[in-house]
Amino acid sequence: MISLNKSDHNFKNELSYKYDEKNIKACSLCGICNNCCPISKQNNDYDPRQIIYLILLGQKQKILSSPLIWLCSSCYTCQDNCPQKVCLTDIFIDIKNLAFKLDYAPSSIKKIENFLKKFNKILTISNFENEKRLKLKLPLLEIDEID
Amino acid sequence: MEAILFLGCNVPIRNLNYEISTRAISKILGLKLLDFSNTSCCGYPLKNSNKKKSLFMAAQILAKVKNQNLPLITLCSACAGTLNEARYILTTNTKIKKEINEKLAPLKLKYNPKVKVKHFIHFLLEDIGLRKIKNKIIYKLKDFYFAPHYGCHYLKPTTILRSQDNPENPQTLKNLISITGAKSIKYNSLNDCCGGGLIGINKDLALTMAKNKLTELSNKKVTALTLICPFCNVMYEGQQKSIMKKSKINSRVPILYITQLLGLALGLTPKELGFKLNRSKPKDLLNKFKNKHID
Repeated sequence: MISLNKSDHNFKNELSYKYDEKNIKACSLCGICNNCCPISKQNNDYDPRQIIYLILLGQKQKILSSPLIWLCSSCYTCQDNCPQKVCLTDIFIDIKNLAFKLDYAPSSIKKIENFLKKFNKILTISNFENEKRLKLKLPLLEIDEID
Repeated sequence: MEAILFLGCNVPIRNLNYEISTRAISKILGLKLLDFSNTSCCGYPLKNSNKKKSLFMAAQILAKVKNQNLPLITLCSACAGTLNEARYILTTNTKIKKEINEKLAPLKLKYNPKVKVKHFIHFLLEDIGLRKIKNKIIYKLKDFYFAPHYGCHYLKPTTILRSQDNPENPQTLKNLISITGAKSIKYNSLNDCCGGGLIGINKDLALTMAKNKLTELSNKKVTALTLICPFCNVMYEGQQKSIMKKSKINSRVPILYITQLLGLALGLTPKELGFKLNRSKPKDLLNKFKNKHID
């Protein structure tokens, strides 16, 4: 149930990352995004148009706490196909960033963030990797220091 | 011809066959690859949690390129997408560029808009050209059928990548496959996303996305599914066994990188192209090349 009393009408303006293209307010709710989304095809609950609609209604809390927003695979199909040039994928990334700040992110996202903070990469290089590379006559790589 | 090779963090550890075959065909095509100094992440995995940090990681890489006149080549589509997006933002948004340069200054780095980033396949097509590759082909791969998989970040978003492909009807991999004499097959799930971006968030959903392509191809006459991204490989080769088991499919879909396919046509041996490291090997193809190069 959507409660308009709990709306945050400034929410759509917080999502500001638009590369000078037409922004979210241009959405005509045509539903092409939902039609071409590969995730919607597998999971009926995931609906990009619905997410955009809720943003326009200012349903900030409802969106940010929804586990569904994490199902976007960032394939950019909706963004590429939007006739109104709404940057949907970029908006969904913004939403996930806000939800992350409020601690709604799945644990795997937090783990990746922590690992990257430490090593600047998601896979590290040890002697083992370099020995393998040496056998294959590939250039050796700088070894990452792991405590 | 020279270019700088940015390996990223996945390829030099988990997809050495892609790296080996890229280096091998580059040599034949007269392309000298200069190695980028380190293997840090492009920033892609941080986009979901903090896009500013992700942009800063990408900007660091772009700023570290010593010879700004040479293109920076990536083998991973996520690296190509993220670095190109960073380049786009830093070129078009002066406010963000200023912020990023202020953060780069203590590291004695500065973003230079001259750096060009290209996926290796785009480099092959645009800078080397189909004709030159075709002229170097020694063995025709006729009678073999390959299913191209383009993946998402090689094609989209079009506003940033400006690739010559239409994401709805891409042709570039088909063209590369065709110059070897092999057939590039048409299939329904051609444009499917591999689901790789979701593997850590919702494994079941990610596997279902990869399953559709594997199921369709397991019923077709196909020598191998042809990839250009290590993350797509994680799904189609790395997860294939568990997907097929779960779906109760007995057959398997052979997997290779397009650089390996081109390499065979260019006269390199399966060993020189790292085929030993392919987990789902295209056996029919490799049998043909077993006895070549003895003389």
